[in-house]
Amino acid sequence: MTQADAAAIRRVQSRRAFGPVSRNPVTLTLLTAPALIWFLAFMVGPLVALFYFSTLDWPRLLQPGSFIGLDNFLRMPGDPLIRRAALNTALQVGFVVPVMLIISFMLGYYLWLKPPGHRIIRVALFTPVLLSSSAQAMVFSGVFSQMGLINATLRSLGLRSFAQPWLANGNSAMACIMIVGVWSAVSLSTLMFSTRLAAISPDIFEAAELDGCGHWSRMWRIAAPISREFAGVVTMLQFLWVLFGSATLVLLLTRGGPGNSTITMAFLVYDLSFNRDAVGYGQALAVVLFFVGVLGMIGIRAAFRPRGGRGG
Amino acid sequence: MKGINQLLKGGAGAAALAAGLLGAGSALAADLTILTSWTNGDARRPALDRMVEAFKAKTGLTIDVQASANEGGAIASIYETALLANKEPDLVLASLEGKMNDWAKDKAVVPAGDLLKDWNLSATIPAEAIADWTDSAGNVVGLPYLQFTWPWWYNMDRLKEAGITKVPETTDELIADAKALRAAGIDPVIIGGSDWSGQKMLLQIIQSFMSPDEARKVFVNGGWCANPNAMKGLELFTHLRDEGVFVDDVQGLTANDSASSFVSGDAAITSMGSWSYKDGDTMTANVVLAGFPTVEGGTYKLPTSYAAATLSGWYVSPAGAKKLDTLSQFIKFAYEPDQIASLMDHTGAIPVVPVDPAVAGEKSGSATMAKSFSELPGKVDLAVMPDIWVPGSVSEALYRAVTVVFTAGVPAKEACAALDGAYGK
Repeated sequence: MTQADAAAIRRVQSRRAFGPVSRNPVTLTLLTAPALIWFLAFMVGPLVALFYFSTLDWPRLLQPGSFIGLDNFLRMPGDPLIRRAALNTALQVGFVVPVMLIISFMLGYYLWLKPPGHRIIRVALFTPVLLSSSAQAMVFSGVFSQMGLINATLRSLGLRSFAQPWLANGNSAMACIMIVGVWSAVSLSTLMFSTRLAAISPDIFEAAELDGCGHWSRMWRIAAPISREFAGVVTMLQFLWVLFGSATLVLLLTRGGPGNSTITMAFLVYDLSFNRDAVGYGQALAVVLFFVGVLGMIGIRAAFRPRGGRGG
Repeated sequence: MKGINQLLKGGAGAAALAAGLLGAGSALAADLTILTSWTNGDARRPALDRMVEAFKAKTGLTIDVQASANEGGAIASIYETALLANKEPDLVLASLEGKMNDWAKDKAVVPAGDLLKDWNLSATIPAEAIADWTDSAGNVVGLPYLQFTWPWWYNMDRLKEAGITKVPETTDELIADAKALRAAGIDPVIIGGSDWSGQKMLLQIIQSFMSPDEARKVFVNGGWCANPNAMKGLELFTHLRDEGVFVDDVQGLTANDSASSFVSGDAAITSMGSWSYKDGDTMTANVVLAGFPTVEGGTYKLPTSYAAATLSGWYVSPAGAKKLDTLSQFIKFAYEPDQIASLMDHTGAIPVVPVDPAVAGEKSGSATMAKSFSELPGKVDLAVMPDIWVPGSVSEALYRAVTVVFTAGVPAKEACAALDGAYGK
């Protein structure tokens, strides 16, 4: 036995000596205590507080709240503001997530083909990821403003009568917000799909090509089914982002207006809590939003489960 | 675009300042801490700095001043956040609007009624100014410091290009003038139909048939659709709007869009507060300050304008109440004639304490402000200023409703429903 072999054996024995200790529940708890404390203080704590606040009649942070049980929740079905926010949220999720999924998958496939200039396209696609929400809002408020890009283009094409204040028109403001949502969601999802497709064996596509499959068939009949589970992950991430993250975009672009035409559930949580003297009611809506998120995740997981295969 | 810029600047500034106040450190080591909306870009800020330096030199006390633009109610958010953490500044120098109306009722600030007497300021500050700062529970929320006037501005050069020789005195004349201006290719009345500036103009027009008490009541509680006089005012507004009095797509404009369009001469008529008098000075055109024209059967016999003592005032925090001796020295110093004179010096500020209009106009260095002192008194009636009465919990929703009302073709019934919706009705 060489000296190196002896040292290796000692290392293994040393690990074995520690083995039983590391399985001791008390020691494990102590070792993971910092993470557990962090989790309880910053994850579980706020969640418990959220549920508690939702049972309060609490107008403003500066005023005391009083316990009212489930009254905040019972009030919601009859509140036109909540109904409008729920409708807008459903529209937003129903439009942004599927459109984003289809566009980003197709773009991801295109990038995977490595067409000329694909590196430049990748960089360009990454731009929205690097832009903060506020910078995105600056860009798009310019695009949609009265003297902005869209209206200037329409005027130059002689379509002056179609020019309008897009963000101040109740019929177009929500559509503008959804378009910005798709724009910002497509980039990262495209890169994720492109990376996923690169992991598929090229033999499969070559065989399909030899069998006479064109790009369209290869994309939708081979790449799409193989990426099904991955698409579920992308959908779930974007669903959560649209559901919870829309407040920032609405706040910066329209502040919920004109009227209440662009309020979403996430924005309304903010609006009720900070503008409308209804902190408790706003927190109750946040609880509802939490469960909508959980149910949505379960639904997406079920929808993208491989057909006839293993779950999960 | 500018609106969003300001919102972002306000948000970023608010976050940074809240962090600064909560982080404490040197600010709390000072004898006196002040939070103000007079940022470095504000024409009044140098005057505040001069006053602070003079006070420090006189007393040897130290003062720390922190500032944030008040876009989107940032000052209220910063202060309330600091207050919840028991790190609030001793004084706040800001306007009275939105949530600040409730500060005394919420015990976020010390009611200033007793302080006025204790510090012998009751004789210095006019009773009307104190009334503007008195909330519905009878608390004086803060000490009034600066006031504003808010007239309609008429660019007579552009009106003349359209063959109009005088300021319209009735709403019928206003409609006729707007048509003439449009025919001459000139934008008629411009305003920020998507923000606070449009809200002021809309509520000014709506109250044309309401008594002041009636207007106050509706501003506080809503009930626009149920009030016949409010509906008459709203019908007047929709009539003016659909007759083309306002520029096209006015509901998409902000106060900044409106001001720049008027100052550049693109639009002929607008409504702007006295803080814009300096901008008015940059115009070579002949600008006349007046009011919103009278309407037949209306409440007011003269054209209406706004004025109130709520542009800036001093709020005393619970922390400030623990050092009233220091505070009283500073506040009394701030109201001394020398400081008031310094405050008016080329800043565009109009103090609430009585000053000779001629001196004030000259001292301001602003021809437009001097004009406001000479032209407005006796020529306009004062409409009820909404900011003092509209509850803080309604303000944001009301701005959003205003956008709906400014949209061409929206009938009065739909418009009143949008306004009532802001009150949760």
